Amino acid sequence: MNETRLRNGLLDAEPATAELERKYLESLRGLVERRLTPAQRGVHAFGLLMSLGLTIFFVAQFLRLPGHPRVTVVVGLAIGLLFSVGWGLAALASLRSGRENLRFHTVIRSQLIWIFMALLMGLMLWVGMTSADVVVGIRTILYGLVFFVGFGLPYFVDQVTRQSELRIREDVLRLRLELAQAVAKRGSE
Amino acid sequence: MIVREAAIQSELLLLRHRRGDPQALPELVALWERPLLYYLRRLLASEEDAWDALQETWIRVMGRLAGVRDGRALPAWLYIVARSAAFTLRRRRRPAEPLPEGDDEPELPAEDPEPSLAGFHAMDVHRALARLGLAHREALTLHFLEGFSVAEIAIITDAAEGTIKSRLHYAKRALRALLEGGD
Repeated sequence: MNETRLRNGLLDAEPATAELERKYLESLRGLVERRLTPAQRGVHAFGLLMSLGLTIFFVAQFLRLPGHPRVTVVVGLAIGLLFSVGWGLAALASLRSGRENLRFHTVIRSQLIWIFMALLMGLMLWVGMTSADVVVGIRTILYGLVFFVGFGLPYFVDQVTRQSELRIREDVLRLRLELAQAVAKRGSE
Repeated sequence: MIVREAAIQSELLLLRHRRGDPQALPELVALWERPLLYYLRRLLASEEDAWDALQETWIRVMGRLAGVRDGRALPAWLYIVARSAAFTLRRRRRPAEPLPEGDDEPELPAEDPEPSLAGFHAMDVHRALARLGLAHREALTLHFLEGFSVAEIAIITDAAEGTIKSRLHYAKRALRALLEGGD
């Protein structure tokens, strides 16, 4: 008997009581998901109302724009609108399910915040560079740079470096896995 | 070879987990829960205890996974965590029961050949494992499930390599005797 067959045979030989397994799976789900408490529901409901209000505000601003608005204004409103809608949808999803996936929802929220900040920084630089008033322009760029260097740049450099390193290692591992599977297939033939 | 595949898959899942992929952790759990449950069931008296220890294992894994730098060590590390969870549970629920002894094996005889278990059915091996002592059962389970080396089993069980080498030898001999119908 080869080691794979023995391993599979042993695992198949182990009986599992359905009721105990169900309890285990339930508790496992509880590790990454938590039921929302009334206070957390309140926080999400408040977030939903805020984002709804902001969405209405930004849409109203869009409707009030003159015939030929400045591009920076349109972009600024679009960023605000996207963030409000995104935040509102995330809050709505948590409220509807009554649970919060600690990984999924926190990742979504942190990504939303970082994307919003990055876009806002870019916009501030753009507004500063195209401003007719030099003093206001420089001041806006400086504010943008402070945000950019202070928050955005280190985060993005770190993210990009780490992600690309992990992707390379992932590709190498996929190749190793394919090789191991090919060797295993050959061995079983 | 499935063992090697599982190890590479675990390494991949660890990388995906680090990249923020929310599906990586559930996939890692799905990949390892059956072998870990089997191992825990060999260490603990009841199935309920084994499920509880498995749950405790994942709680510990989730808390410490970020600290695992070398993905190749992940399978052995999972068994170390599971073992620790099992013995914590044992101590809590059955304080009177002794834990497996460390260095209790006799010297390995120089002329004794490695006992072969080829030709026996997995179900028979499974039943015979239950009749071995805890230390023998544990070493053989780790060896059969993951093909861990003597050095790896020594690290997992916190015993000396020489002890594990001789433990595996005597465990295989005892298992073979049981499978052949002797004592």
